[in-house]
Amino acid sequence: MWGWRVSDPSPNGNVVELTNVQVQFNGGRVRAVDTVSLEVGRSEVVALVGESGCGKTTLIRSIIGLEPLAHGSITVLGQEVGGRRGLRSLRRRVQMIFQDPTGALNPRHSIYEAVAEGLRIHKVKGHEPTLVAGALSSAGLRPAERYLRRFPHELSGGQRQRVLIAAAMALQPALLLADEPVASLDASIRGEILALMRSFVDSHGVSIIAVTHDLGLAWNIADRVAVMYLGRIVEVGPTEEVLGAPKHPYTRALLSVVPEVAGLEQQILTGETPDPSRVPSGCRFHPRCPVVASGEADRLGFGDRCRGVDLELEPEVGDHRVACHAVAISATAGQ
Amino acid sequence: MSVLELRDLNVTYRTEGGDVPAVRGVNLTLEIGETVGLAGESGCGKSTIAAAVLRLLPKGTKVTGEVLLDGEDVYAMRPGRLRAVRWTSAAIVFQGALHSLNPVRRVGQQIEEAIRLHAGERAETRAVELLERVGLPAARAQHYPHQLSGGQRQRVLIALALACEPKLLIADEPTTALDVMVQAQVLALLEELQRDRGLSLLFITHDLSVLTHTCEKLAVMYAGRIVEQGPSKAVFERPDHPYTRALAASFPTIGDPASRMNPRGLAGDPPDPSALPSGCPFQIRCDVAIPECTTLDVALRDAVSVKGLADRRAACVHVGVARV
Repeated sequence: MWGWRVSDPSPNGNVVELTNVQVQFNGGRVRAVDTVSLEVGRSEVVALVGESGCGKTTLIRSIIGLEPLAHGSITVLGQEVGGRRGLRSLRRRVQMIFQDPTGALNPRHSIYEAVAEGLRIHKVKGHEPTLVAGALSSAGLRPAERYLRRFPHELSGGQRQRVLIAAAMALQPALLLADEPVASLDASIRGEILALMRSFVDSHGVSIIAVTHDLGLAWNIADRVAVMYLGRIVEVGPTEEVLGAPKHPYTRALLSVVPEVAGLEQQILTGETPDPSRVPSGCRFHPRCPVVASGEADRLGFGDRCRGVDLELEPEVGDHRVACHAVAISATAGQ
Repeated sequence: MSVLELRDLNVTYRTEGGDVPAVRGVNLTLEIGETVGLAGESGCGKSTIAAAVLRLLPKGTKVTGEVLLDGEDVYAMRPGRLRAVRWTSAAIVFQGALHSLNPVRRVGQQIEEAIRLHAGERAETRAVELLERVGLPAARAQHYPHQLSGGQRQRVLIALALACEPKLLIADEPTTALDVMVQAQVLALLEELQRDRGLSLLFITHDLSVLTHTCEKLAVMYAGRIVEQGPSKAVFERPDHPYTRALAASFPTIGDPASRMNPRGLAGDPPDPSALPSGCPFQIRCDVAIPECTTLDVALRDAVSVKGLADRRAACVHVGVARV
């Protein structure tokens, strides 16, 4: 049973396609997700990084139909999200794991029940106990028999996250949405869980969108990184390029404060995490942007554009795309 | 004289299920102006040490050994003396800022109260000064905790801890719940305070990479004991104890091809403190364990025998020679 692979997702090979997605709250006053387009291919891991309030969690919630779209469209496996029809079959193919495994498990349900529940809801064919045991051992809880009758409080945080991963994988999903999957775990356990997630990609062809503020996670398992700021993707591309040669001043600042990066001068952005109900005019990052603050943007003659002209992702090199006036102008000048 | 000295500290929690030894024979010294990091997984006893320093442990908890603040044993103090020492000699910043502040009082008032109880004068002005010191505008004094963001609340807690100008600040996971950028702001603030005011800092977190960048010295705890200590950069980059090695490896270096698509961690869980195995408590998870490890519990000993480099110590059978 555990030799399964994700069947061909959609005609163009993408598991998810987001096109100009907008999610709004409070009657449009809060633009949580503001015009985001993103595709995720089969067996691909995309890390969606950014600060609290940047809209990254809202974005993945919209993929399983939990947030109504104000504009744009989302297709999963070639099927549009939003229509009532087919929501159940979609939810089987798209599974989600959360930051806090303790809150996500019912304390009165045994580990067996936690995994079997999804199988029953989705009427998965097969011998239930065998499916449950198979899922648990594939998530590294071996021998599975030792865990079946236990309850969440008897397990460690890392083991609980494994139970949730087992419950998700038991449904043989095409896409796993992971919201800060290791943020509540000890550093020592973190690597083990990430390795487990990556192994499902390599052995079953599952795709993962991992929402995180942990750039180390991206470096550890992601094929691509998308950096979000105030509801918009400001930089996206292959992990090596985005983290190795960041173009957007926001990505550069984020990288400079990660203790795991050597050799970058620390660039601590002042001020609080920005507020999506008050998106600044022009480039939304300009009030905190070091290039604008240092006067460099004005010296080079594009400061007014930064303050006045909103912009979306421009192609930089190949798949590496950036939404920054400085980058766009230096690219034009270079041609 | 050291600001803080722990001598053979043992803390045992009394629970319905029996005694739980959380801290077992810890020795640690903090000099004036020094920053020491205490690292380890959940349940290793690091937060118990924070609480033990100011006698904040639950009633009935058994404590043996000595905790010396400025040379004075905290556990021999009379209640009045203890109350004076808390805040003025040493103060703690906890992780959950939301739970440490009173939700129905303005943050300014909460700082003023601490000043009035201990130092007395000019409480209102001092409270505003303190808020400005941690980078919050004076107007914030009028706000209630829920009106502030996580990073701002953490700053209020730091201002509160500084209210009576303590010599020692104990920070227990002060940045764990914060975003990377806000974490960087708070860490920069702590560094600045330490530099400008000669504050001694005991920094407790599971995040070894944060400690390495903030602290001069590092002590790594496992199952209630310090298993390795030394200068932080050296310990992080060339760990002597297999546990520290695994812990350090679980922090990927971005840009390093070795950690690309190769997350590393440490299999298994820490032992249950109420049922520790015989021998070395790390043996079950250790990749270099030898038969002796099942019976022999090695004490902390010098890791480097070369003269002048003896500031590194580790508790492992493979390390150095026993100190005489």
